[in-house]
Amino acid sequence: MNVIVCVKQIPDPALPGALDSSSNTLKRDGKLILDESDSYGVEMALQLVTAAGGGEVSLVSMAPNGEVSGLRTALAMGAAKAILVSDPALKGSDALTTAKVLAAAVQRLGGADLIIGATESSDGYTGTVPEQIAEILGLPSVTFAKKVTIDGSTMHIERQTEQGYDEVTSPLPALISVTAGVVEPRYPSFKGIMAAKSKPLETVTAADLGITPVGWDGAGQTIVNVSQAEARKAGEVIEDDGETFTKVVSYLENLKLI
Amino acid sequence: MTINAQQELRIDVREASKGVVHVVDRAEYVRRAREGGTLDDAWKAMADLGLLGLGVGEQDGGSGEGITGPVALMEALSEAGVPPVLYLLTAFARTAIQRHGTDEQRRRFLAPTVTGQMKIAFAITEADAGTNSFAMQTFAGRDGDHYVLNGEKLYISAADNADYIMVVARTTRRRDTEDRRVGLSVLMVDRHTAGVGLTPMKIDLHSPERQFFLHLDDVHVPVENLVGVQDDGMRTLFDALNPERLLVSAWAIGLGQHALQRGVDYVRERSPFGTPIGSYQAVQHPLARANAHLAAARVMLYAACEAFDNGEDPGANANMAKLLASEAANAAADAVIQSFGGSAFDADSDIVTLWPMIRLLRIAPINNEMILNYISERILRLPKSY
Repeated sequence: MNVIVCVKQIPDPALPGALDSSSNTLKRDGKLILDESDSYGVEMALQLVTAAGGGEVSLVSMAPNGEVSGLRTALAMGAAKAILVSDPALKGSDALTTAKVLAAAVQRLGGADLIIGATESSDGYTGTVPEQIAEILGLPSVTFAKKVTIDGSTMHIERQTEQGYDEVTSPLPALISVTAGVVEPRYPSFKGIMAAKSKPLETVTAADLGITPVGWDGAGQTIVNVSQAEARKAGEVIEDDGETFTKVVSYLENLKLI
Repeated sequence: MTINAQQELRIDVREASKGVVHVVDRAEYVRRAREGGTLDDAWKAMADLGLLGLGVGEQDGGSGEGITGPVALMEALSEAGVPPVLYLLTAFARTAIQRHGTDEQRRRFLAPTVTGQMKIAFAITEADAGTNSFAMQTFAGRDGDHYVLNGEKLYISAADNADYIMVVARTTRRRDTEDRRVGLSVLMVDRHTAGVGLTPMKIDLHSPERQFFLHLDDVHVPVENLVGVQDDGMRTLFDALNPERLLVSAWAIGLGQHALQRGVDYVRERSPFGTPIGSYQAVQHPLARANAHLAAARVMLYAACEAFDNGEDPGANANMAKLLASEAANAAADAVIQSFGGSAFDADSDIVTLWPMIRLLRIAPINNEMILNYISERILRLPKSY
């Protein structure tokens, strides 16, 4: 069984982020790391391939400046090979262009039985790219997958909902987006890190993939304004009068957490 | 190894060490120091992640990388605030075994440490022979196919969790030799041998790993556990104590950097006058100076690693690295304590809890004054002063 994981490389969330004032886009000129959201997909892919008894996990990513640090992390976890699409022309690409580029990268790898993406990235949050890839490739897609089992050419998915989960069955090949926390991503071993250095990692341009127009030219959207997020308000303080639990329960019910 | 290769190895080891820190992070380390608990799970993670193979040659089941690999690991884990001292001891004991052990000893003592099944403590210090190891009284008398070991050691780190202790003893008494350097031997002592006793010392470094008195009472040690040549233990020790200085330097630099980062995080937020105190030069400069000194010590450290791994005499660089690293770490800790103000002494801030260990590294494993003596005599060729 072969699985392709779409992984995003993002600026380290632990460091202060900055916006490019001319384009209102996130500055990505420093070192990029593997988006934690995608580490769950990589781990799930590795577990599915192991459970299937064979095959390999491949990666596709789109990032500026030929950045591969995040891909190397995923390769160190156990993925076999990767394609990076890196091209100055891609600057300003919107979600749909990104999906077109990644879909083309998937095809360059010869497709797979299963394509995995994160529900949303930790820096862009459009939450639309995986489903757009599925549409472009003509594959069924299932969002919010929290548990996946493969039975021959059929996939059983537990799909997270607000109330619980739906049991969904899909033929393969297919695409899923996985939620954070579904599996515990492994930490790369020293051996894995060393091995990742020599794993195949092909860097291509949008033109190599035949995708045009891209970047600002291909974007169907522009970011016209950016405003400061509203400051977090002080939390509600509840005095314990012996019946506090009812207020806590009702608070959680309002949030639909219970 | 080129500087770039060393830098790459540091990054790779640091990356792999994240899986260890995931198991025991700084908060957990401090909690275990306070409430009890070992670092066994961190040790298992180090084995599972392939980190215990660093420093052991591939022919002995390791992944190589000389002393640079273990130094990089010690630096990374110390920078995360979780310095594993028994690992440090095991790492330099292995270096001595690799260079002076028999094939059989390499098989017995190296491979099990790579898989995490064996940990090695180290015992040299005695109450009346602290800095002057030649004056030690612990004696191993030959009796047929074994030595009979008697003596008392102290400040033996993490001995309760070690499987073997590398013990330095006299096999020829001081009075029976003109040359004080002659007569020392290095023995691998199974901690569970009859006659080996441990008593905890009342030392609180805010570490889960404790210090012990080691009592050796007619301990029978097989002759095949002698590492190197009888009475010529100095030669074996040379390849234990120099790596120890390198690993201790990494410990100091890592822990100093950890303290510094905690200070930087704090002054970026602390704003009693409305603006962060980190915007004041009076606060910035001691932190900035500490960063520069830690960086300089790190350069010296890895240069010393390079010398050791190339088979050169690393003595000068190893000693100077230890001096600079421990002083830089202490300056960093002092600047951070000053930045935190009174809250540094609130145990919950975990700043004052960093201090004893960092301060100790100006004293242990050898005090900085003896290092200055070494530099004076060996490098500057000045007269011996003591």
